[in-house]
Amino acid sequence: MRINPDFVQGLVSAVNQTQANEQTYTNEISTGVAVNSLSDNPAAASQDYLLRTEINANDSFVQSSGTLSSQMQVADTALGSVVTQVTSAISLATEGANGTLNASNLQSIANQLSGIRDEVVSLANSSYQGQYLFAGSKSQTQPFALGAGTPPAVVYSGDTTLSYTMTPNGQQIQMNLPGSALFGSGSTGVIAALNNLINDFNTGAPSATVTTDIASLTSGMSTVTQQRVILGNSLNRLQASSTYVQSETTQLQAAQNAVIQANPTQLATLLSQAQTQNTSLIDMIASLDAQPTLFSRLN
Amino acid sequence: MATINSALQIMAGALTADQAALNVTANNTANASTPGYTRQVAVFQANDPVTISGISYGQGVQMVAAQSQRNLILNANLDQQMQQQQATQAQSTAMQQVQDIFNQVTTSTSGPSPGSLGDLVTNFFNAVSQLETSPTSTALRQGVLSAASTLAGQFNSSAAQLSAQTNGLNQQVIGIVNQINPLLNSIAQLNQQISTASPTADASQLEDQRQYDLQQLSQYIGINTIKTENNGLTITTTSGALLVSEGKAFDLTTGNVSGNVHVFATAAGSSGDITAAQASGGGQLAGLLTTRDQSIPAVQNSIDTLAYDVATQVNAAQLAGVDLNGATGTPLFNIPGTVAGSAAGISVAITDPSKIAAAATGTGPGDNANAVAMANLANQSIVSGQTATDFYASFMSTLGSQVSGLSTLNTAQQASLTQLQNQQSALSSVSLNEEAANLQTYEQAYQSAAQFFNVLQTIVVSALNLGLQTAVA
Repeated sequence: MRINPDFVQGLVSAVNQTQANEQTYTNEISTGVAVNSLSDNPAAASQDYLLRTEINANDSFVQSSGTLSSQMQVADTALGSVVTQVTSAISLATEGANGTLNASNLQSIANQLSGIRDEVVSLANSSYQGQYLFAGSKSQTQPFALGAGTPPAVVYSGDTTLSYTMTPNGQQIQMNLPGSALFGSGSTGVIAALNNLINDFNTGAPSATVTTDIASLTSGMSTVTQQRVILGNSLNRLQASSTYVQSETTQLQAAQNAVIQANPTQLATLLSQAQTQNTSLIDMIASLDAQPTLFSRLN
Repeated sequence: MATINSALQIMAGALTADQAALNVTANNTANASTPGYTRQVAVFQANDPVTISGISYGQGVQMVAAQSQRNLILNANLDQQMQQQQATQAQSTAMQQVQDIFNQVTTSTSGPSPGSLGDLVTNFFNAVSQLETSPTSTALRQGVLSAASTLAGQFNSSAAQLSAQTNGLNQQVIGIVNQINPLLNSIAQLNQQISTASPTADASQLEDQRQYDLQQLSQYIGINTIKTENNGLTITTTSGALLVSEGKAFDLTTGNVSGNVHVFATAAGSSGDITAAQASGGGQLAGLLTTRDQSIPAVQNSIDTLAYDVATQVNAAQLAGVDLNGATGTPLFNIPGTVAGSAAGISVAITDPSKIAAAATGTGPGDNANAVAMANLANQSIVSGQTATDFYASFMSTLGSQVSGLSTLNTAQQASLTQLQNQQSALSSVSLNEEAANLQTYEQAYQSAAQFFNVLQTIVVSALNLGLQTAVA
């Protein structure tokens, strides 16, 4: 059978092909990534996208959970101070209720209680980055104020809306504690109980309601402590989620690496093969050029 | 009875035949690099013998033909394969350019996210989800707005790039029609020349030229050819529109139909818009038309759907909540009323960060319930029954698979085309070694014939001088 006399053309296109291969391998080695366009490996490209979407969502959560836990820690610290203040208020009131103190001592207790009450009100109006922490959803309005009357009524301007944040794994975490649930409003709760006690001691004489009022202050304090436990739990869950998400991200990154990363050893071998092939093809074409045809031998 | 004279005539005939054969070899050698040239072989034929007194005497040789070495079936196969391969190659090249618009893949796991449409959708929902933690924060609200506007901008730019691709393809279609028409005219002219010069037999170089034109034409458009009388060739498109009939060419024309370039046939009886039919016809034209009229619209529809569904759902979520000032939310995105044109038409409707409705209706500005609901859209099946992320991931793998499939198909078709080209070359290309061998053969035959005259002369002289060598020289 007659052979194709123009077979050199075929060799030239083979040279082009090996050069294209060299380019691909060099590109993969230099980027370290095996998937440089969707068509290189469509499944890997879309898998890579899904993984990085998850990683991005995780990173975003870790970032915002940092801010959120600072905010919750501020709230927790405020509640801790409230508990300390109220505890000292209870000892003061108990001291005042034992019937051994004179009018001026009672007045002094009333003054001290009044200071504690102001401190508690101020703690109940704690804010973080300009937002009131215990105002429910009305975080731009100062939640607590003392109204008129004796003892003054507690005016709560917030609401009872609870806010939740969602972790990337779909967990709902409570972010806030409404002020009314913590400190009460009107004539209930720790602030009202403090007001009642101040009123009790202000008269300068032992009052019949002191014991009841101490009991309601104690009960108010235990409400604060119970609510604080909710906040503490939320904080723990948030931090645990954040830690979990961070370790998950490390795993996702490892998975992503496995999907897209180039294999340098394999690439080096392939590149070296392509180079050898390219060189031999070029040498071969060059030697064909030097090869005589029958014409050059004719006399 | 055989005579010395008849021997002289036989050798004179041999000299003529060898000269003609040398001519064929010279022509082959001269055209060794001419594209489309088909090598010729000198065909010798012994003359009819003469029978005298019961003895049959041969009457020498003549060269009856310089036969072009072509295989019409192989040529037709080659043209067909060329049409298929060129269609795939044109589509593959065009789709690779489309893919480049969406080619954002991770370049390093520690580097920034490559910012594809899908990434920007995720970034938007991440920004909303950050707003959950501090719904009154102007910085976070601004973050949502800028993520929204980056997303809308990327939708706009992807749509613009796709439409630029479509425009580029329109220009290429015009360019291809401009290549096709001169070829049609050239073939028609060759038809005419061939029917005059060689109505019944192979027309050698004229036929080479016509075959070469056909091969060129096959790169551009899918055609069918029919051999007609007088060695003519009728060419139609694969869909049957007449392009060349004997000596007449019917030029293709282009025209604008709803913004795209369409191709029209002009021959009476088969005139009209052949755009849709030629999309599956073959040649580069088919590849370009398929990409322009089928593949790009499909890609366009995917990003339109993504833009429309995401924007519609986010807008609905906005309306369900209240903004920082307690007012009912207004749509975040401006979006056309239909899916078509959504990617090009999407824009951010609000500029005031306080207008983002993060709070649920009936709550204060510090509430985040609506932001949570909006961020949750990221995990809901809001785009054609899938989450936005899954939709984009499957869009990526569909597009990537399409491009990679086309590239594989192109390689396979190219290999098969190369095989056919090799077969054709093996049959029809000039081999210089072969021609040198022929030259040698014909030269020796010519030299022998010439030498024969010397010998015959000596014989004739001997006869005239009756054995005396010196009388007549």
